[in-house]
Amino acid sequence: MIKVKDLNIRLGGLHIIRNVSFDVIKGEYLSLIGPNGAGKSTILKSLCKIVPFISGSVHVAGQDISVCAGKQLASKITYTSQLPSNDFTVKELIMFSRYPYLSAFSSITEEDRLKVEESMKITFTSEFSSRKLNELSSGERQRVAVASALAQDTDIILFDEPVTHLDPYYDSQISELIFNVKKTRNITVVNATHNLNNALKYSDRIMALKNGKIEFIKRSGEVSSEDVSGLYGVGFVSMENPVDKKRVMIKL
Amino acid sequence: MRSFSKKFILLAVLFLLFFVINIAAGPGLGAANTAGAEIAGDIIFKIRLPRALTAVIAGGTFALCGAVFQSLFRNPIASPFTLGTAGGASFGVTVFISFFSISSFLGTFLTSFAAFLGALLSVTIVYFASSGKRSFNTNSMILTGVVINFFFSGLILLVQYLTDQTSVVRITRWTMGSIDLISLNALLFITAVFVSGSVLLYYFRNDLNLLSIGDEISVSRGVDINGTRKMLFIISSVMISSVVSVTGPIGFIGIIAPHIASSFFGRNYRRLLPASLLTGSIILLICDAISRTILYPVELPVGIITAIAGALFFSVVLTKQ
Repeated sequence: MIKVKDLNIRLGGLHIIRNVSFDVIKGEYLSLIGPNGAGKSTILKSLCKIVPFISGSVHVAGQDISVCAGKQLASKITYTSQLPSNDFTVKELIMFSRYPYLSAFSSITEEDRLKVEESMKITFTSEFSSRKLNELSSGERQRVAVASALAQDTDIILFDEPVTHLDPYYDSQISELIFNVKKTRNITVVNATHNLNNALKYSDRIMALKNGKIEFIKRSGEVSSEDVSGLYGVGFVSMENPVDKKRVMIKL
Repeated sequence: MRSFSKKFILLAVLFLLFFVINIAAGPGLGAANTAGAEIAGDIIFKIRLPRALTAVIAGGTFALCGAVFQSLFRNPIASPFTLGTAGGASFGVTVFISFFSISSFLGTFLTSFAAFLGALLSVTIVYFASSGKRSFNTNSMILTGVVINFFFSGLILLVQYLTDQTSVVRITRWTMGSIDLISLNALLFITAVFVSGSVLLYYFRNDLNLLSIGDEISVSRGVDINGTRKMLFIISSVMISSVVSVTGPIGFIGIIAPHIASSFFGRNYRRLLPASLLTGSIILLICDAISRTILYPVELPVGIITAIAGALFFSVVLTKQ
């Protein structure tokens, strides 16, 4: 689904991403971990042309993104981070995700409306659909972000720290939501996160970045506490969660 | 949604009402009655109607472009004036007035072109001064706009100082902003630009919505942000220039009209664009009627009314927030 080859990104004079290559297959859940400033967001942003790269190539769904028009690319892949504050209502904002399918002088179609309704239903945002974004709590806002990504109806969704700043309740609610939607719609997910245990629990593979380079890409079951300790420079220990028998890591 | 169509009907009714009031207001019609219906007809169709239409077009243009700039710069006080666009256009016109005559159709067109060059110059400076670094910094953009306004005001004074007496009077009168004495040629010209420009801006309504939220979200939804921004700058600059070359700079409508419109219609550009247009037109129709009657028999340039009323309105809004 995504093919990245020898990617190099330079921003403001700094060489942020160095020779990064990786593939993501259809329906895969890949987590991106790594210390602050490792380049996780930058890589995600480069995949949908928010950030330009100086060399290398990115193919999304078989197409070279450097020759792909904005709307065409946006019907295949989307990027979601914290929503900036604004005066639109939840429903309006989610409707803006239909941009790739709108033509200039036509109005909103029944299909657009259905997609928006459906995304709001899945993310439990219908109940506050007519409230303004500025009036929402961070948990609600984050669900709206997920809803608007879903409404765009792409095969690939890139999440940039979707559960940061959320309390444990909303954290697991949104993490479960992303995982379930990924399964039911067979969407490909790349998720940049600091939540190691979510990464271990939900993703098929984990890619670790440090100083703009790939430290390792492993199946999540094969990631050891030594890998993670080396990555963050702080000790971790690996244990089994007694309830779901999944591995968790605890910082020492 | 139904409540919005009701509001639009109400807005359209208000528009028609003030259009008629504008035409009826002021001296002349009563006196003309004694002289015969023919003169009254002449006054209405040759003077008042073109003037009311100019008010509609100028008010609509400033309001539309204000709404567009507020999305592009993500700042509620961005307008053709705060960003120096109108200042640049004024400079272009000032230079042109002091060297050429502008009564012919070609003259009108060339004045607009001079205004356009000035507007484009200032937009380019503002744009590059504030987008040089990694992100688009709206604060430095507004500051650059303020600086540019001072710069062009200085240049306009310089041209005035160097040019002959007659031109000085014409320039001074013109920089006050007024919508009287417009030739039919000029009216045809600004109507054509206004109609095509408004349609083009409406074409970009979905882009304007996303751009008003942020760059990242715009790109990830598929907006070609650089191309779209350039197009919107060019369309707005052409529209502002054509109006400014005829009416002179008429301030504040670009900030106030979208502000009023959005408090009734929300920030969605599908509604905000038409609502701002009508609101801007209504404001200028009212201000023009006031300028014609308040000091009767003397007639004030409408720019004076909009500037004073606008500043008052603006300070009320600021203190409320």
